[in-house]
Amino acid sequence: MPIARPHITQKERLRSYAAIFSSSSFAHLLRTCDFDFINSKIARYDQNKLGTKFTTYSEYIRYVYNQLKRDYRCEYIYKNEIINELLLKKYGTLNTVVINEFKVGRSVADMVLFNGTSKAFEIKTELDSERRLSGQLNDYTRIFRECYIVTHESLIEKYQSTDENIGLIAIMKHGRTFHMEEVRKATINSSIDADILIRSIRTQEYKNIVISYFGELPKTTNFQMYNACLEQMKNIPTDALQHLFITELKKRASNTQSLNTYVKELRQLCLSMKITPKQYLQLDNILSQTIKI
Amino acid sequence: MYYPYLRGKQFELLALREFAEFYSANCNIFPIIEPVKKSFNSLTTAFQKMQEKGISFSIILNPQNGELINDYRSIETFIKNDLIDLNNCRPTFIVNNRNSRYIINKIEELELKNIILICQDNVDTENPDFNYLVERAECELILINGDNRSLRRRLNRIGKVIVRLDDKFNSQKKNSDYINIPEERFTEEHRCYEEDGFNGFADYTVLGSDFIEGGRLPYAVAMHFTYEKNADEIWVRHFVSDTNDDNTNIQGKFGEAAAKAVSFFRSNSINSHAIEELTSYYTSGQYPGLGVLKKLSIKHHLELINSILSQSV
Repeated sequence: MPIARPHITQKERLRSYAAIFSSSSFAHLLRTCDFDFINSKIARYDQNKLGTKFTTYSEYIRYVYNQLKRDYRCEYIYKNEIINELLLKKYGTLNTVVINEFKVGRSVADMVLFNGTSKAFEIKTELDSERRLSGQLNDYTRIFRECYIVTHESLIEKYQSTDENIGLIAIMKHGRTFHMEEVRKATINSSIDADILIRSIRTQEYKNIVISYFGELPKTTNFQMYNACLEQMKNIPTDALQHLFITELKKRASNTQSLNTYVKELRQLCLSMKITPKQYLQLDNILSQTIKI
Repeated sequence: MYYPYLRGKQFELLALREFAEFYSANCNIFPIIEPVKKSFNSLTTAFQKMQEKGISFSIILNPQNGELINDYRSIETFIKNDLIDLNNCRPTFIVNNRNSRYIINKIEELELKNIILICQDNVDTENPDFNYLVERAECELILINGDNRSLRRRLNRIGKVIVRLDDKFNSQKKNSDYINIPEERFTEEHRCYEEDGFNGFADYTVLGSDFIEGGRLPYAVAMHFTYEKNADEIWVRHFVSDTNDDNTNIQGKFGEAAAKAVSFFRSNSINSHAIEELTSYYTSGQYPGLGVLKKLSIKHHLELINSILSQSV
């Protein structure tokens, strides 16, 4: 007897949902109010739930987000839950700057945070491979005070064997909800590598660090300034350099303080798009519209 | 006449402004500008300067790149409000295989005259709308790909002014790729276009035809300057920094690349306002920013072509 093949697999549907949380699509939406990138998903997967499970776009986004959170935890879910569960519930945003995709030497940290200390988060979802992990973490530990791997509870064991100075954070299932828990605390790293640091920050930032400590810039041309500043930074004691690094990075323009006023499914998107409170009102307005296909 | 095709971005427009400052008296350059930004400030100042200096230019009313793709209305508003003297400004359309009817309607609605058309490679020459469009008397000047001989023949027969538009810049993926190509031939159209039956030549200068928005900090700094290598050919020389292992120390990399450029120009006695400016940044140890670097290579190229065309007239 012929078996009816399901038209679309569950995995394809979820992967397709994950693509909704893209900054370029939302930037386009803000510019043009064009819902195509969402409407196409509704039309393909969820037409029959329209009017019962959701009627507005923000309700649909919540629906999709919860599906992903339950069954397809992609990087977006992890990043967004770091904001919801760790930043807002645990660390607090007062005097804090969170940055997405922060370059460290030749690696890029998924998410970093500066308040009184500096933390780097490396996300390892259940959909990732661990291929590049050791190299990346090695770079992070050379300038950040605390480094964490953020992963799913089912993978914790696998990462227990990594460098034990690296902290471990797990997404855990609690009844019907999920939350994030620190499984192993990171050891505070008291060293800092000026070579990696200067390659990770902006020109004005390393200049400011040198000026703050020595009172002036080395006397040389702009073309030699980088090397001259690097030499100077190597002479700054590590605790002072760590402190100057954190102070400088906290000056970066950031909407970290506003994140708690944004809808909880879209906070990571708002962070990476640097959405201002004013733009957020506009976005909120657009998304509160009733779905029209 | 040379028709450089430039996108209406800050440093492209700055290059035009500064070029206009020096060369209005003897100008063989007719810039074609595709607006790509929602903000018209840089366009306004560049256009004012060119109008003040009597340099003609074209503005594309249906850009195919950037922020204005579906926002032609704001270009129309801009033209009505800010371009008082339309004598110097030629309305221009990009023609593809679908929009001939739209363009005809626009020409009628806005009562446009002295129109320039830029034919993309996919125009369907059998399409009646397309033929009606190009045959209209208002459409005087038409840019086509230099290789499209059948289209050229067709347009020749109906007495149009035809300019060839080719991408002469051989873009590499990464700036550091230019290290292996110290120089290459850029164009010989300035000597050949008339012989080949064209009324002018156009290209995308040393930027190439790809529209690139923003971009990350590069690992290598590369500057592209054209020069007349022999009586018939213009070549482009690529000057690239040496320490290209990551994207830090952009100032130092600029210094490395500028040293090579300045020494090349000096030993070959090549000069222009743009080269003077580059040399002064270099000798005073200043890093002007990548945008200025782009401005300089465009400005230098316009100066070079203009001086060649002025001599041959």
